[in-house]
Amino acid sequence: MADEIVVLTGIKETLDALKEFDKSAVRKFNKVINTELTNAERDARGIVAQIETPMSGWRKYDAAKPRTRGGAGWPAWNTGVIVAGIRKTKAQGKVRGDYTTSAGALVNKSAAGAIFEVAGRKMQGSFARTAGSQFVRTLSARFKPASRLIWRVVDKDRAKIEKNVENALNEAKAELQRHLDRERV
Amino acid sequence: MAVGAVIARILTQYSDKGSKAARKDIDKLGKQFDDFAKKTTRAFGVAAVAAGALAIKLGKDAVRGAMEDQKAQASLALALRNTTNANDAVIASTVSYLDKLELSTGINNDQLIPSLQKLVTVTGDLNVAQRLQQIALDVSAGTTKELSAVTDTFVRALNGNLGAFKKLGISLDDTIIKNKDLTAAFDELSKTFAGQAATRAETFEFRMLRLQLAFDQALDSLGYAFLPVLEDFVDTLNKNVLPQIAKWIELNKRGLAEGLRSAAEAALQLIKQMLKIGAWIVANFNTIKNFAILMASLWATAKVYNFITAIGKLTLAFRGMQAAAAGAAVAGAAATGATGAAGGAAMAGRLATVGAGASTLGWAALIAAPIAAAAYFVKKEGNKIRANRAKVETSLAGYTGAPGPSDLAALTGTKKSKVKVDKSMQAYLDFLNKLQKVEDKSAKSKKELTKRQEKYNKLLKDMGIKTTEQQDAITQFAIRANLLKQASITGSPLTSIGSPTPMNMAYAGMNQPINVYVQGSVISERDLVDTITKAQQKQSTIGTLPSSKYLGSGGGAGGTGGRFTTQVI
Repeated sequence: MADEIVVLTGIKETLDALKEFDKSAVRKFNKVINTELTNAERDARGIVAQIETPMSGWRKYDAAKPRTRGGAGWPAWNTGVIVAGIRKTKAQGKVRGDYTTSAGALVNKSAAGAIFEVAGRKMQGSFARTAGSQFVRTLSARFKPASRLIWRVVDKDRAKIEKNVENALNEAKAELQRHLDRERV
Repeated sequence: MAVGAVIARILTQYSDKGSKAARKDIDKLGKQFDDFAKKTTRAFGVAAVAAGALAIKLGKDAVRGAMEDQKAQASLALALRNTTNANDAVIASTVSYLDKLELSTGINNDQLIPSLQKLVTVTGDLNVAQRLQQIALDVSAGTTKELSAVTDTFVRALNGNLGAFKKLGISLDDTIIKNKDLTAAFDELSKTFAGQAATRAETFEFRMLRLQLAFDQALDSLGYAFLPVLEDFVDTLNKNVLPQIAKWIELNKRGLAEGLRSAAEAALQLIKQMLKIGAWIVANFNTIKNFAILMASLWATAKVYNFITAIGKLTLAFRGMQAAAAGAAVAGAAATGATGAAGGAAMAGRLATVGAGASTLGWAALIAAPIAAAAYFVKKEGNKIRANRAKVETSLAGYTGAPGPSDLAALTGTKKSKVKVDKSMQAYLDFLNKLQKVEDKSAKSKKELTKRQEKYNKLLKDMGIKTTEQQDAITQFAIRANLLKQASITGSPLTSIGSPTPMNMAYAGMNQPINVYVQGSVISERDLVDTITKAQQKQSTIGTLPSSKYLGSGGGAGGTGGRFTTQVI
């Protein structure tokens, strides 16, 4: 995960104001964001599609008589479910302590996808002889340490996405400024 | 977002939602601090003011107490020095003794110091004086006399006047008095009043006094601390301030005098003006008094205003009634003949005038007006009534028998009819038609018309119809009413007999239809006539329609076109 983030300011204000003058410019900006998010979503889903099962014993379907994980059983590696669980979102969510919120994110919703995503993120380097540690070690050996799915895509493309969105935002701001200047005249 | 899902935020934007909340919280916190600060400041301010006031009070009392105490002590010290050659140590110990005595007995130093001073002066011995003062305190407590009075008595006794004890109410052995044995006298007094002062000092009253005295002593101490400061201040005033003021006055005394003179002259002028005003007030006292009464009654005027306004509205209403009544009188005159004009107007106007003065009589004007107006209407609109009646008759013309549904429909505008009209009714209508034609065309003399009327009446009598002596319009009115009833019986929408349905009567000559609610079964002509008359009267009362003076009275069975009679009432 990235340690640094780029905070975009004035997205909502710019778009709200620009909507009054040029809706096509608003659509253009939204299209940039949607395109970037869609590309990231597609890349993340592509990772899943390439994996038949992370491990040979990872069932592809839910257990008939599940006994672990609170009765739900170990989640099956159902590619369709995992792919469907990966989706883009522009929900703002809760404002955190840094007074920022999401303007675009990927969500990995499925249980199997989440396990594959973050397994061993906090216990990297553990050599315990437990089944869990062995699972993490094997998973990390095959697919590199966590994060392995959406965060990997985001970390890989974040700079590009942020750059594109920032350019689009600046363009929208400039467009808004032009409209305002025209109105002032 | 899904719970437990992994969320990878790609784009992050700043949201002022959180900062607004934070700012709000900070503002709230700041406000709370401000409130706290205000309350604290206020509390401390009150405390400071109170403390300041207390300090001023304490300082004032302290200085005053210290000054008085210092004065008394100075007098005592001088007396001690003069009589006993006492030094400062003795004087200081005496002062300390008096302070303790003050606290133990509850008697103020204001009394103790003069008492001791007198006794010292007389005896010349401080110890003796203190002993005698102790006895005096006991006597004072035992006799409830003031210490000063007892001390004076003691002083007299010491000067050889032992009889003074009797005047104080103290009984001593006559031998002691006769022998002027002071030792025996004071021994007896000390035995008689032993412990009185101590006992009194333990009472609640004196305990409170002792507490007060202790506080005063503390204040005196404080005052003694203030006194040097005040002395310095006074010295400064005397040495520096007052000479400068005196010098300034010396230099400016002429200007000051002029200023004072101007001020005095101005004050004098003011006084003169005031005296003039006073004289004017005296001369115009009644006017001022009335004006004052007027001013004082302004509030009442404001209250009465609403009543006056209401009275004004009532007056306007009564004037309106009066005008209406006058017009009605004219109408009545036109209806009843020129000779009645003056009388009708006079009566109506009188009624209206009286009505303006008394609400009860005002109703008389209201009643008189529509009646007279109705008469006028009948007279003036008679031709129009006749014309309209002719239209009705035209619609009924050509009857060869009972009017059928189509005929009634022509009258009422509907096609529903189930009841047939009696033949006698048709015959009577024919008769009326002929009568009207004759009347309109020939315009012969009344005598001839009367003959014709009698002839037709005879004809009607033969037909079983009771004759009348009414005017033609009256008869027509009743006929029309009956026709309308007949129409309603046939199912016309004009009326619905047997149920409270509005009957819309397009009465001839009226500008507006009259809505009549017919309740119950209408079986007689009288019911309809009365209903119509009431409606007419009602509308005439409100000034929209005139009312007929002539009221028709019907008899016989309605609904089937039975016989009826009309009369003038």
